[in-house]
Amino acid sequence: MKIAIPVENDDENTSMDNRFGRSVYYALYDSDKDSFEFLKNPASQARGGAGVQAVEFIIKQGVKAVIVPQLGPNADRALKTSGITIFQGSKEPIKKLVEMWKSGSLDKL
Amino acid sequence: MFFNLENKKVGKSTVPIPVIDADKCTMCGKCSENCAFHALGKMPDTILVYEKMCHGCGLCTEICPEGAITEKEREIGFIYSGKKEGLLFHYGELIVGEELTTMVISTLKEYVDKTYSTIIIDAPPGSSCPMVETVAGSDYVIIVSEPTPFGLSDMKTVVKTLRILEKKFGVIINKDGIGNDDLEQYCKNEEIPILMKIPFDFEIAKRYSEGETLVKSFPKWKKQFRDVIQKIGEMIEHE
Repeated sequence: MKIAIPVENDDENTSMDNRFGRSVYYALYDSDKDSFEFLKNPASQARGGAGVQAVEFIIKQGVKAVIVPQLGPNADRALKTSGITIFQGSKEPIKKLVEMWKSGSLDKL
Repeated sequence: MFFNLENKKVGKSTVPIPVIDADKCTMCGKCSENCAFHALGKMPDTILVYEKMCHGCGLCTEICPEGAITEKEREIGFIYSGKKEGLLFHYGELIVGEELTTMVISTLKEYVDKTYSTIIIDAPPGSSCPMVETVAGSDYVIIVSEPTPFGLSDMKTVVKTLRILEKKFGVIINKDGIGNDDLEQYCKNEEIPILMKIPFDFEIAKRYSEGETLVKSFPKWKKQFRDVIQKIGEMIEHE
């Protein structure tokens, strides 16, 4: 299963970004391989509608869950419609967030 | 505000937004891929429509291979009108929270009565879409600027835009006397006519703050405005 987390840098020691739709990268954690992959967010510099484009991008990657900061209203509606499970994260290292997800201590939105 | 008119609501401004027939939609995603404003989002089993982000261009309706998209009108503003002493006045109002100024201006222009010899359309400041929409179709553009570095900087972008649009234009300098001569020098260098200068004057500002027009407060200005209109008329006819 793939989980997406918005991040600013493309390395494993980075922390979650405060912005969902406009983060520079997404960290994709693959629970089957226990590894991270980093993808550039194509909506990062969008003039408008970044949230919607970001969700479309995430869906294409086959992501089944996201760990997110606050969501804008457009991204919120798109994510909720998409069937992707949404977990509330905070500005923590992504490794720690994944551990929290594994132990079931993240809240579902 | 300055004319003390009793304005009546005479029309509304709407944007056509897509309505997707889920029975006909095959989820091909062409509409969302091509939407310049990202007003459509392709989710796994539905297409989301973000009504407020839609600019009403109609592209999705046009390109949907299944003919699954129809349009409905979304209200974004109103048109008001008033009349007094040979002056016919219209203005547009955008509903609070809406962003599509340009659409309201476009609707407003449909109310222009072409039997009038002179039609003045006031544009929002700046050089972006609302200004472009306002000046489109007009014979002459009057730039009102003030002789400060800010005024000149903003005016340069306006001049650039008007040249792309191939418009005839001239400048009225407002608050003449503040700032410096750079704006006037720029106009000279660029061969842009200066139509009039309104001085930076306490009495003018005071009457303005009381909601009175310049001409009503100081009748000597009437001739100057008449002359400007006449001059512009001649410049247009020379075409």
